[in-house]
Amino acid sequence: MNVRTHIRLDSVSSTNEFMQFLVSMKRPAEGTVISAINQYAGRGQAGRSWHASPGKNISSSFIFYPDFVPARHQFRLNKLFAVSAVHFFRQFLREGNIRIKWPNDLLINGSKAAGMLIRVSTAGDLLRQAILGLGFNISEDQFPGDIPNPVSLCQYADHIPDIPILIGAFQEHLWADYKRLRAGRYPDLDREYTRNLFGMDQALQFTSPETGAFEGVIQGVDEFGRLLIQTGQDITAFQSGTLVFQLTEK
Amino acid sequence: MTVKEIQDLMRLVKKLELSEFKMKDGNFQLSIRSKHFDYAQASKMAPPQVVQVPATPIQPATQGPAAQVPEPAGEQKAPLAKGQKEEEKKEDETGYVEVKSPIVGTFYRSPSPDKPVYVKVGDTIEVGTVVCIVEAMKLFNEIESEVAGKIVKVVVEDASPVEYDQVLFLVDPNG
Repeated sequence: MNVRTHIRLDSVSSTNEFMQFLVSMKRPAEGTVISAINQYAGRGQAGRSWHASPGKNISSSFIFYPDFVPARHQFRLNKLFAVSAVHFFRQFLREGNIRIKWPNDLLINGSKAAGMLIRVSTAGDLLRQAILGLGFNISEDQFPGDIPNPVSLCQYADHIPDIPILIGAFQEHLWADYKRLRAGRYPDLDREYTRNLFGMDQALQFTSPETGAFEGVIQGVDEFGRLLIQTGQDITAFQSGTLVFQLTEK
Repeated sequence: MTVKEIQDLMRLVKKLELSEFKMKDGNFQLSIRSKHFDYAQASKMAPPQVVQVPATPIQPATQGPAAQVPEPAGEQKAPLAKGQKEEEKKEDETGYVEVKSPIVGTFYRSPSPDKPVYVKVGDTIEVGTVVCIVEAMKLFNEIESEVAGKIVKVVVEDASPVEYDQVLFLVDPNG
């Protein structure tokens, strides 16, 4: 069993950028995490800023070298990370329903509690490295107006340990699930991802730039990670973040 | 060639599970053999190569009256070298090495809209140089080149969708 390193920073622009820098200098051991009490220029999807008050969140980045995963199956990592986050939240939640909003946001009772950003490097047909950057709302109480529907873990938990202990707990979940993937137990992770997918088998309202507003039923994701939505007799595979969907399960 | 470049090559040879890799650049010659290299097989294969060289003058002799004197052993290398050169030329003519997308997604030439592009036409790249990002389902994939050379063409427009195996860049390995 290898020891997993936790590098704690007081303040950094972005833990992902710092991890990338570290990887370029020397190869940190797999499973190493960098966390920051204050991450002042965190990034979300497509360059959207990620707000976090110092000490009230988990802002961290993990490094993996999943060179056993073919590049075309990179979404398996996404599933792994999302499922690990579910395991983490379930460990501390007293009440509330934790769900994965495709592709990898975490919702508690339909409100966003966590987001992640995954950066992988590919050489040829195989992945070489993966940096998982994540933001978990732990005791955050300040949410800027442009973030839709945010929530913190503390609202649904009785007792929450200190942030470094929480990061250690997530690191353990992540490592255990990563070992499952490496041991070829992807089908288990796949089932767990689907089982915890928000809106699965339910009629929801969606909007996309291509189709406008429509109602459909989520059927799961395909092998590339595209969201499958049934409308009438047709099933359409949606890609990327252009799809917007309502966050209330019927 | 730097030590790092040689290390990169060794990694590539290992990754592609090549048995042997040989290169020549001016006076510089390099041969990398991996664990896949079969010495027994190689020694079996080696004699025919040697035989082939003196064999060539004999063939025309059967076709035409102009009988040729077998070349002295010292010059045996000459036809081989010529053959190698022709091979290299052929590579030039068949075109450039393609960098393809390993996934379905959206092609981005820079890490973010306000940052400069990873590579542009005329840039010299090494094995492992990041040439672009292909994003799919919020997963950002930095594509590294497997060849060294010069970028001669950027095939896909920035921010456009790409298919699996679609050609993204053309690289001149001799550039």
